[in-house]
Amino acid sequence: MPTIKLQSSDGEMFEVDVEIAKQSVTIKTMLEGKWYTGVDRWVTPPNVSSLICPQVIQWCTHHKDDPPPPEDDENKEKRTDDIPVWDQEFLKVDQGTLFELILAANYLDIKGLLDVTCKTVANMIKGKTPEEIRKTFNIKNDFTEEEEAQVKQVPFTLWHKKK
Amino acid sequence: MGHFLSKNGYSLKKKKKSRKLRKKKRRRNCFLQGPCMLCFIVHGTSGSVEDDWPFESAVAAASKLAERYVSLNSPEECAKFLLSPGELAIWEGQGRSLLSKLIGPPALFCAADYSEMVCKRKCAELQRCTPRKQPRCAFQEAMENGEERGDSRCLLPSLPSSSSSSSPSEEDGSGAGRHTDAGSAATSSSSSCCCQLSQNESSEEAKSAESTDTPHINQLPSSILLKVFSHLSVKERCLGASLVCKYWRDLCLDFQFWKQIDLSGLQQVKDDLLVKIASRRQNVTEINISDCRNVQDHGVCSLASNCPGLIKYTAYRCKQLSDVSLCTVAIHCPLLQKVHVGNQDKLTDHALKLLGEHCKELKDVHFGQCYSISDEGLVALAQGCSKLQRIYMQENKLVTDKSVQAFAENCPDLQFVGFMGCLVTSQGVIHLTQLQHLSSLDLRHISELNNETVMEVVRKCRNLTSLNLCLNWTINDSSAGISVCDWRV
Repeated sequence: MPTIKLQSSDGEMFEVDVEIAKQSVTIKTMLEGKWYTGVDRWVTPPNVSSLICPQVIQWCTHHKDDPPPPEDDENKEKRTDDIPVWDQEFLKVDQGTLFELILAANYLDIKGLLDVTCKTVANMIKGKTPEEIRKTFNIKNDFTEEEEAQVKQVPFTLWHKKK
Repeated sequence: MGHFLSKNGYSLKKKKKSRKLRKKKRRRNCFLQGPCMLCFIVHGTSGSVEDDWPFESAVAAASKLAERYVSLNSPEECAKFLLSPGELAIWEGQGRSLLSKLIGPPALFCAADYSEMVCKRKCAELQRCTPRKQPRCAFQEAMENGEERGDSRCLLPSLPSSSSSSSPSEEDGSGAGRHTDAGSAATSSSSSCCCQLSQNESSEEAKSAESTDTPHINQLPSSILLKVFSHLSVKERCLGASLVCKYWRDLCLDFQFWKQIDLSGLQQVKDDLLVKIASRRQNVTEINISDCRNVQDHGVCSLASNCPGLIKYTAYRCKQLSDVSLCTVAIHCPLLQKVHVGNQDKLTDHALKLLGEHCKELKDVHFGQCYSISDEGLVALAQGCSKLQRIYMQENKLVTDKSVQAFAENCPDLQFVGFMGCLVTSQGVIHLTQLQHLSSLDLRHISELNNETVMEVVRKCRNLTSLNLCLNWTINDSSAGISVCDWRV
């Protein structure tokens, strides 16, 4: 079976079946385009470390027989309670790893992985007060007291949007 | 341009001519990519700054500012919005609270904080700009004045978080994550560079605060954070995410979240807000202003004329609205599918005729307790909107069997029909047997109804699952009994 190598940011090489790698639209596009047709082909996604690379490969391997993900329907209600159990276990990692997975999925354009990771983060936000969210993600509160009071007093819908 | 920002606003008048030229030039340099209500770019000017600057009272001045602010409806106008130092002082004194009464946004003018926000997004990677790259702005003036005003009235980047720009940033090839924002900002040669000058200290700070190797959530590309937020409900965004930090608040303002707007019950909502929403041209698809007693026709008309993609319009109990609002909605929104305007007693047949003429996609209407509506309007509606699936009338005393017949004959897709309290009799109801898809029928308290008609309807409408005949005194158990048997068959 033809394989392709992924080179992590710290130089390690990981071999993976082309069919599995094709879940990444980025890689798929590269393969379909003009490409060095030698035996040794490799892709170097930036900022994907040698710790994350094998995890991405693991996810793709597990999901290799999945049907292609449906197109995003804007009007369809977005759910977060439909993350498969395997993925839930897979994503029981620390925040740093989770975000790195998001970044890798984003660059490699692996929709399924990006979806479940984003849903996981959304679940970490749901049900929490702003203060709890800040604690969870270590975000600094940059509202002044006055702003915060204003923000709370006025329904959010009255805000304007910055394009 | 220094003169522009002179403390005495009046002196601007003299230099109007040359300013106009400069204004054009500045605009060419302007990288403003969209409405940026939150920042007060000191660019060119509308001529009117000094003209309507009474300085009579801080409140009057501030309210003028507020009005001008509210009337901004294009990127060019935003770019021209000028605040001289005098105006800014007034604004900070009075205007903010005034504006919040009108519109109620949160901190508008703390550009300083905005720059912090930007920094949190790790602008550290961005190129530093020399002042020349920026539009001539207050910043420069401040520099000229030797003040440390780098953090005030700073030009705000248009957030690369908008969906339209998100894909370029991903295709950047500069890869995922941390640097994507920087990449997109740098390539679009826009935005964040301007803040860089003022940001260095704070960016250093932010950098050190989050300098660990593990990525911080705010380092993710904004397109990803938007994706995460899209999984939250409106309430969770409003009460949770948007209150976390300014960056998140701005992301939550992204237009993708505001296609379906539900303002029901909010008494603070007035026309100016609807005008503002309309000016965004964000192609709202659903709007709900039920129980918003302070909305007038003007606001609804603004919204309707600017949102041709409107699909659902809900305005229960808006008795203050007249025919004009629904007429305007009908004329400007050909894609309308749902119109629920129960309890608007000023609505007349004219609006319904317009709906019948213009809104061929209508599927769901509710005109309960719109007492001025009669057969004339409903017949026109039925004849025009053959795709209707749900119609609901209640206590419309001018609605008779004629309407029922018209709907039965013209709208074969009807599933939910309600004529509670109308002047409908068995003569009209019998026509409903034509409706093969009828599943729910509400005939409470109509003028007259006999058992035979009910039985006939039940027999013919095989999909009927809900039948409400309360307060029809002539209906007795026999018809109910037979009805049940028929159903079982």
